[in-house]
Amino acid sequence: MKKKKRKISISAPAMLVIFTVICFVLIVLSFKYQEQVNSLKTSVGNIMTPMQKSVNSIGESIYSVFDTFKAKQELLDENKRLKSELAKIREENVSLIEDHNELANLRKLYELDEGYKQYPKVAARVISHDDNNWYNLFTIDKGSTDGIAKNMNVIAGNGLVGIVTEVGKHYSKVRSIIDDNSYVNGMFVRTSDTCDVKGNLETLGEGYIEVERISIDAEIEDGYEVVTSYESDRFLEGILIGYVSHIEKEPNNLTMTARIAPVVDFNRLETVLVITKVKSSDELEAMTDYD
Amino acid sequence: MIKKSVVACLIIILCYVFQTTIFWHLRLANVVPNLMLIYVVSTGYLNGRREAVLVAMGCGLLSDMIYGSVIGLHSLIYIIIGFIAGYGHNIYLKNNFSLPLLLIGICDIVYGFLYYVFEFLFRGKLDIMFYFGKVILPETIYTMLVAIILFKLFSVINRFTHPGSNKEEY
Repeated sequence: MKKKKRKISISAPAMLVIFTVICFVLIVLSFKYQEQVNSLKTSVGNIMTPMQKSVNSIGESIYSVFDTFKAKQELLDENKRLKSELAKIREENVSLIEDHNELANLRKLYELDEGYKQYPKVAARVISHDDNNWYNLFTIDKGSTDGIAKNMNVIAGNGLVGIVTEVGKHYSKVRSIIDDNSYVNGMFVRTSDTCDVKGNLETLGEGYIEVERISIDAEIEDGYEVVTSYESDRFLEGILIGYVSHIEKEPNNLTMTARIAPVVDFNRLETVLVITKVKSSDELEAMTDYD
Repeated sequence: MIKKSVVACLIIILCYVFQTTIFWHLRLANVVPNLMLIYVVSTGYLNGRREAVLVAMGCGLLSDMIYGSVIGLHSLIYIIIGFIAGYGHNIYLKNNFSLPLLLIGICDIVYGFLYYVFEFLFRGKLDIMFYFGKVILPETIYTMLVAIILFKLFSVINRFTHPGSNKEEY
């Protein structure tokens, strides 16, 4: 009994100091021994993800219930509106079919369509999200056993979602391109001008992220598509990122900035595709040497 | 002692799992409430600084392990919060629910501020008012709303894990 009392009698401030020191040691250690720390992280992740996976499915069903309530009235209104629109659109359609044929031919020239259909892909479900409101990381339910490795690109629909940053046995973590820490080398399809696409929390609320370092000579216009560049050391080339708008000259008159609206809807991301091809490591090494 | 820690671990894990999954689907104004913070502050308010710091360390480590880039950073923020919240125990009043809610609100603002300093200010993002209005404040309000239910639940659980601790003792 006495022993027990002694045990508890570390005062709270002393405890704070001890834990603070531990935290600092951990911070230093995690910088120094990144690999060992990562394997520790993975083992914790391996325990937690199954739980998150099952609870997440409950979350999804709750959301879908709310969604049906909300959606019913909306759908009725929408139906009315759509019917009137349909008549108008039927007319337009005829002329558009002609345009479409022309577009198909042009696309072939750009090879945008075929660009990333050749990459081997694995479908995965999103099972949990970052525990705070500052970053945009999420976990998917496929891991090393499904052939996923670090630095693989993640896409959804026809656009770039992000990149795999950590891989566990049955899960991996993805940093999305809208994350405040994200950085992607991009390229304008039509002019081949390169640019940097940077995630930004400040502008994300308005539905766009930033494009920087566009050459002042680039002849670009609003609505041009940006894809991942061949220059990038982590992203396979030719994956659609989004469409630019608000092109502005920088005060230094050397570069331009713009806004880009990602083609992927990050608010309702439930399934994604992981491209199971990592950009060749030789290239990657050459890049790092160059840096 | 063992019962206490097992219950605490379970609650931390449950908070974490719910925070990263279900509540992400129930986001309001694009923010998720911070359930772990509610637990840390509730522990501080109900049981004092010492336990709050312990619980905070658990929460911080879990958060670090799963989504953190550097292990120890979230832990540091959480133990500071836990320590501050522990002072709330000095003004503990039985059956008063506005006081802990206020405490949770204050602590969430402090948490948001510290997080901003460590993760964003150090990367040269200076517009604090933007982050305050867009992330910290909505998160605080949502967290306080959730805390109305959750604090009640935690105090009921606390009555079982700490049968001896009544206000009369202090």
